[in-house]
Amino acid sequence: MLILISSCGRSKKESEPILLKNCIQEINDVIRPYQQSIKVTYNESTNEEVVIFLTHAWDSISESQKIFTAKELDYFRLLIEEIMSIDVREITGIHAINLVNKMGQKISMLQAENLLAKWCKMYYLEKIQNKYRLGVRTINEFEDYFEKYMPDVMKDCYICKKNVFWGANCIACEKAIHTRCLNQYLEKIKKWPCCKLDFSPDQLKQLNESQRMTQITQTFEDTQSIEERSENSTASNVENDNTEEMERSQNTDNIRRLSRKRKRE
Amino acid sequence: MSRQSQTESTRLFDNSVRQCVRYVFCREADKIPIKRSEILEQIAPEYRKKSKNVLVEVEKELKRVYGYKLVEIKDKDKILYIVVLDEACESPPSRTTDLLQKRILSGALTHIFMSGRPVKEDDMWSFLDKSGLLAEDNISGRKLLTQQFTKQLYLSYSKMGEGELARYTFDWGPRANHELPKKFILQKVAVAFGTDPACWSEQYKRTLQ
Repeated sequence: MLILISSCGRSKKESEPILLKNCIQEINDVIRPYQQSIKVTYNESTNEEVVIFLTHAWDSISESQKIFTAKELDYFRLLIEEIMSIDVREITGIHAINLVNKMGQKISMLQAENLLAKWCKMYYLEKIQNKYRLGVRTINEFEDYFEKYMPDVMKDCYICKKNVFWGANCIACEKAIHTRCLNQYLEKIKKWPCCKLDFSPDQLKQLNESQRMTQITQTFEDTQSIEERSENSTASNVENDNTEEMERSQNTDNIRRLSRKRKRE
Repeated sequence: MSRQSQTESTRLFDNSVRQCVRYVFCREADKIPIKRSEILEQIAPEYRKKSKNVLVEVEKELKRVYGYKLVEIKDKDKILYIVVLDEACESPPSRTTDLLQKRILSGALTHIFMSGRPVKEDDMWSFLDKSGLLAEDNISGRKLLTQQFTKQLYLSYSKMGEGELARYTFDWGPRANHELPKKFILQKVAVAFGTDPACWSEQYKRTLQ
């Protein structure tokens, strides 16, 4: 049950609109004993506030649901774990469908396609330009699951300390930040909040490009190691009073260092 | 009974009610009826013999919390339950609702109602084909009616007659009777034909029953 915030309900007195927040709180008081809640949260992907109905229990009763078979749920788990284990947190359509080959008891590719479409409709997955990401429902329902079974991939936002599923990594220190949190911070100060590096939109662009490069080319690392050696010797010889130029080269170094580190991992 | 054991007893009772409510909630989505025995499994052993008391509370809670009505259906010697809405309410359709399936079901139920009696299966396939809902040569598509809607108790699919004259017929199932007011169907048909519901006197009488 995923609904967008629009107009609020009305109380018995026609002229008194009930605040959505109070309404949700009242509902939560009633459904809490049943290990359910309604949460107002932010969908980073669509830049909207959303209202989600969540179930918190994972036990034999919740497993009694018959909407999805055990095989289908296994496929879903494979998908989300695969997505979470990749830096860019998205996989292509073909990659998603081919994951069925990793399953002991297979499901057909057609079944996989239908499931992917269904999960997108249910907000468990999101499809953008033929790439699948975690949907806002998965991000909220599976937070505990990821913390328990994949703690290494969980990153806390530098600013709000909540989990980041979609966001930016600082190009210098790799700290994760929600895009929304970063934008709110940048409204006041044009620096990366974590290491106070000057921020420029180009940095995000460069970062994305370098990520793509490491994924495509095998020889990237070789080329970079040669360049790094020559850069280091150049940097130590240059006396540069122009701060802007220094920072620019610093940024480029950082990007390369980041890409190399990721390649090594 | 000591105060402590009374509290413990109440706690067990409340817990049993909660588990049953949760179970019904988790099971209701696919609309396949729930066996009474499956619900009773969620009750603490101490209260299995007082399952009636537990179920009364379960029904109350389902109504209070979710607006659900737990309806008992007798199927030969088994007791089944289906979940329907206590009151009709308007809400946007779920994104996962298969609208084509819904249309086919609406068509089938309307045809049965307007015919005034159970519809023979050949007649149903012909009707669905003519109304563009389900092509007559789509044999696998027929499983939607003979299996899915029948299991969900929207339709009943039963054998009438014996031997060579035996035919399968479709009629309204218990879920359709609970969920779909006949008046609503007639109104829709009347609007489609640009007439007044009262023009269909036979059907109109049935809506008053």
